[in-house]
Amino acid sequence: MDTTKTYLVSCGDCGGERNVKIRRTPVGSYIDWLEDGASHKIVSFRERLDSQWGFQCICGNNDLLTEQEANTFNNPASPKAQEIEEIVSNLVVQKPKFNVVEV
Amino acid sequence: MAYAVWSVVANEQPSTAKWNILGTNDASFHDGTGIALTPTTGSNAGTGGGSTNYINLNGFKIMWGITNQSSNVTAGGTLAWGVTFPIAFSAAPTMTATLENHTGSTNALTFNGSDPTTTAAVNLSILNNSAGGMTAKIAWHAFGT
Repeated sequence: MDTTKTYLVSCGDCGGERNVKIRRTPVGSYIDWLEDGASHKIVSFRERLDSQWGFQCICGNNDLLTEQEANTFNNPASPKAQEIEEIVSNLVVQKPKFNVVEV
Repeated sequence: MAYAVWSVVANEQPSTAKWNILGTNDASFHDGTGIALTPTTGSNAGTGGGSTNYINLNGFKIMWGITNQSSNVTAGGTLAWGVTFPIAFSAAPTMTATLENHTGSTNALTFNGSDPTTTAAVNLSILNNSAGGMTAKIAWHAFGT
């Protein structure tokens, strides 16, 4: 079942924050950046294999990939099925570096 | 506008701000500010000493350098120096050279050897046809593939 909620995302390093809307579905999560023409420091999103939401901030804080993913994927842009299976079969949940609060 | 490294990972969903970095990078190539053209310093300047540098533009090579100050070249004497190119040309380059930091006699000096036929190094020489001694550096530029 799909759920769509609005969240305030804040960077754990610089404190930069923005509101986003995220739709969670059985096959993945999808973000609506709620673009308003303003400049925001948080610029990218990804649902990681540990099911946590990762973000990227222009201050350099970036947890789009878990350390396990970064260490396993030979090419993070196009990981192999075998690499994904390897992670899923020995999944390590990594604490996100961004705070996400429902608003 | 400077160039910024840009990449995405699988299933990443960038915001407009991150997508627009691509446009900024395009603009940096258009106006040249994003093109990395940092000269590389040569490690072997040859018997003339001094410094050498080069930029390799996808096979078209631009090289330049300046020798150390020469010792005294007496009237009628010749200073012969070898300059080793920082990287080899594949064909003999086009070359120019001038004297810098000239001291001593102010009479005319003749520069020889600006048309190299070799690709890795060139012999440069100064013929002092003045009445007194002189010293100088040789500043040079070489262009070719």
